[in-house]
Amino acid sequence: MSECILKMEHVTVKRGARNNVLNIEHLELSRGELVAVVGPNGAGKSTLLQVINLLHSYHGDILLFGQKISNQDKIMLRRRSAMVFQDMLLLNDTVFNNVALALRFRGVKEGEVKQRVYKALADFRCDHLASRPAQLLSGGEAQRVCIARALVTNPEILLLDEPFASLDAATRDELIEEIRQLAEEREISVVLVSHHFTDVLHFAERALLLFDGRIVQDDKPEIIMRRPVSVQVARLVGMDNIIPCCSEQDRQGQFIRLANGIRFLYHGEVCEPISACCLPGDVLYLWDERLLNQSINWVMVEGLVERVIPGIGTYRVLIKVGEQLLSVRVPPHRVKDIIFADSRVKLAFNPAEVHIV
Amino acid sequence: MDMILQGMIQACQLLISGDREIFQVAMLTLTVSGTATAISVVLGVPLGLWLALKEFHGKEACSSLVNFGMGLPPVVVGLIVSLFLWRYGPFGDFGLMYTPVAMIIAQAIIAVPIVAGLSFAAILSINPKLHWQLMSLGATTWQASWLLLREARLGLMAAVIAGFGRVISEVGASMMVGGNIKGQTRVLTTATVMEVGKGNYDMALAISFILLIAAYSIVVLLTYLQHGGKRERS
Repeated sequence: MSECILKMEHVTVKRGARNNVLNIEHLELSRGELVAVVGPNGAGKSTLLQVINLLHSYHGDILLFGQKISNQDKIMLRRRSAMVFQDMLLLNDTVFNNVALALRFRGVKEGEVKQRVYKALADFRCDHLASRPAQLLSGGEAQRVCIARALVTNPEILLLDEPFASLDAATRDELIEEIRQLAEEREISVVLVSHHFTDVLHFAERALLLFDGRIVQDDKPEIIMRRPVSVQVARLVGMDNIIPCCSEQDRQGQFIRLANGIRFLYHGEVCEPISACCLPGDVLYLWDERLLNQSINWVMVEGLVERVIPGIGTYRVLIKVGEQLLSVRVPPHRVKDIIFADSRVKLAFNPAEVHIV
Repeated sequence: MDMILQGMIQACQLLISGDREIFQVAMLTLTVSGTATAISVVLGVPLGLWLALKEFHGKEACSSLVNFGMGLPPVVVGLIVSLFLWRYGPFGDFGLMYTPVAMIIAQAIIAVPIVAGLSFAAILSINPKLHWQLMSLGATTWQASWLLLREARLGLMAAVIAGFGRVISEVGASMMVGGNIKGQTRVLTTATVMEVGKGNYDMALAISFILLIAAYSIVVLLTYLQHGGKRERS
């Protein structure tokens, strides 16, 4: 098992009248682990990163790199981490001098500074910008320089506070992949705050869901995506269909009744009270006789096609079932042949693939 | 209009002829106001930086006190400094009353809140997360503070110019604590008031023009430094 480099126990942060800016019961981070933090605005994501970087006062116990935090060694411990903010926080100076800052703070000799700065800039393909004033960089270039600056000191923990928020999707994906590769190569633990769950799926092997300062779910991103613990989490991770529902018990077993009138026998575990049924768009299938070959008790649904939204890989088809609009993810070849707007279609889903919250 | 013209001509004559007395008064003016400004920078800039970066109870009260101090009437400052420095005052033993040192003290008290208040505003105008970013990169408090001051240089130079402009033009405090003693504490402003009192309007105008030229020269120098910094960045 990898070495634990961060351990937080009962860590709370208060700000003015708000008592629960952050309320972490328990959190551990291993060396080389890639973790994403997701949550709505004001959930405490940035505060969590600031606490880990020892920039924010807190109550509770933190063990960072196996050491208890005291005022004397805060700077030394902070120097083993690096943080990149959402804003391009570059000084009015050249790119070289901006990246060299962290090394100069540590008293590294100028010869070594030059060599390490060019290496860090080259890692992010921006060594040609070294002599350019930082204020003249484009958004993407500036963010690359910020990340190079954070990595020039070879930190053990890299904290990324939504650094890609203002970048276009292509640049964002490129940067995420570069950081992921570098982190794996150098065994750097990375904590990434992001609003985009797709970034999380690309980047992290573990995701923390933060609501009102508390971690409400800590799991693999794909599990969070398919098995969210609450309606809030389901919305946040972009669950296709969140349908209000209730449970009914009769002699045959436990039934789930959805708001659009669909009723099906459910064998999974249900923690009462339940509020919604989460149905990912890719477990709703367009009815095909071949489905009968599988020994599954399919739940059949019929609806009216409202809209077809093109996409790469799958098309999203919005189908009205009762008062509910269901989002179904369909392979392009099936869309082409079967679906037209205002046409009636039959859908089927396996109750075992449904998640009740 | 003629009188103003006469005053300007006389000011030029005094400058060209190298009038010893006027030269000595102008030098004392620059020395007193320059020293007071330097003291206000040493005290006011760290105070502004501290106010901008530190979170503490009563911060608003402190800020409002500094803002109030920016409009402190020089006569009141002169009176209070006099009470402290006069022979039977708490610092009477130092014998500072009616000396340039007393004038420097009074002018520094006037300038400190101006420099502090404008420094506070200058530092607040830069992205507040920049401080965290510097700390996060491993800066000590001193290293981060120095870089923040460098970033806010344009605003800080404006604070220095405002502080200098205020003290070189004040008369009430200098008159009260300096006494306008010829050859010792006479500065351009107090000399102007004295000449007006004597009815020598031509001379008063000439001294006023010399004061304006001296103040303008210093402000031009500071502005050049300020904008030199700006050019360096772009």
